Amino acid sequence: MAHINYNEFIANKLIKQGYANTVANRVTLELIKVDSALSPLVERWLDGDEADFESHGYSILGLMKSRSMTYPAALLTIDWLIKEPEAAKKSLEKGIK
Amino acid sequence: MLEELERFESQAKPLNEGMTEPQMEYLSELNIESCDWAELNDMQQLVTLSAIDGRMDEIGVPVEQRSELAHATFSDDMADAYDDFIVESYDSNDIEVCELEKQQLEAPQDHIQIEQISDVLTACEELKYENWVSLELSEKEAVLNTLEERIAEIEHRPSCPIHLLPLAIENQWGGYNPETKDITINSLYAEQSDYYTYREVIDTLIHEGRHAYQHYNVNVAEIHPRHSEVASWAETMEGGKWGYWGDCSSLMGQRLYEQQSIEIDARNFAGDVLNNLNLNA
Repeated sequence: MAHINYNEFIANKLIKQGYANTVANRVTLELIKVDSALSPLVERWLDGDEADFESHGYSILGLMKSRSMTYPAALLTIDWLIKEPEAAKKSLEKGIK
Repeated sequence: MLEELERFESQAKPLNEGMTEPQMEYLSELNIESCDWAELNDMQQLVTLSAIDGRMDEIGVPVEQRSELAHATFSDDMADAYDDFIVESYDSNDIEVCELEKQQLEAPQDHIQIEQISDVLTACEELKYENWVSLELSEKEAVLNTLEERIAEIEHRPSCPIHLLPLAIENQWGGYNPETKDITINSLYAEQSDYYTYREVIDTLIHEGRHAYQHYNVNVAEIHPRHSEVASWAETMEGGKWGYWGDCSSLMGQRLYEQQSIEIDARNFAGDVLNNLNLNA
């Protein structure tokens, strides 16, 4: 039950930040399973703090600035870099098309 | 069935490449030199012109390409007479309908599209690296527009105007806009001359064209040979079951953007063309 409330809490925060419901729900599913190194950052973000984290030459704040990502989007990108560094780096290098 | 396939393929190629030698010979059998042509009476000329048109039908030459083919095959007077014959036989609406029907024919299998697009790119002198780097930006835009027209023809979809414009976000190479049906390629990259960027610009041209093809299949006419793939593309478009589409990386991160079905397909398709061109890293 507590787990469901936590999900809703995250989704509501995203919706308040302008996310559409379906997108907020999808991003929530990703945020609740981030690497353990990033879980504290999700908690802090829920409290209004946007802490930085670096992995494989990329950082959350750097991605927000250079790629116009929101904090959750940048955090999820760093999560991908931690879990699948080669695929994530290749994708970031290839960019957006 | 094989004849049908040959017809589709011949329509997707430029005239000289699309016509086989036997087809060209079949047409040129009807050639009459200008001096002899003038000796024929009206009825004889009409019968000959009708025979030419019948053979054009048989071979599957689109109406809008017949004049050019006639001038390449027949004597000048005969070709001019055939031009008049076309104008009298087909009005412009017929030509537009014909073009529309061609676009709505089933598209070739992916491996054939990849092969044909590779051939078009290989044949383009301006696209060769040593020539490309010396072109002005406006010239590059013109080359890319010409190539897009050829690619669209191969894919049996309408072509999209290509604009070279600066895009502010880092590593944003380009995009297809399904509303305006335009393709934008980042001019900041198009004007660079290193080999990696050159290759990625070509990749972007094919990638965005594939997005146009996907949208055409989902929203206008399903011409792709595999329905399951079109259904999968529809899931990551506006109104699709996932509820997100396009460049969602700024809201959802790079992985969810990268793993959309339309992105996987466009990336693989462009990658296969670049492999054919020996341009992949």
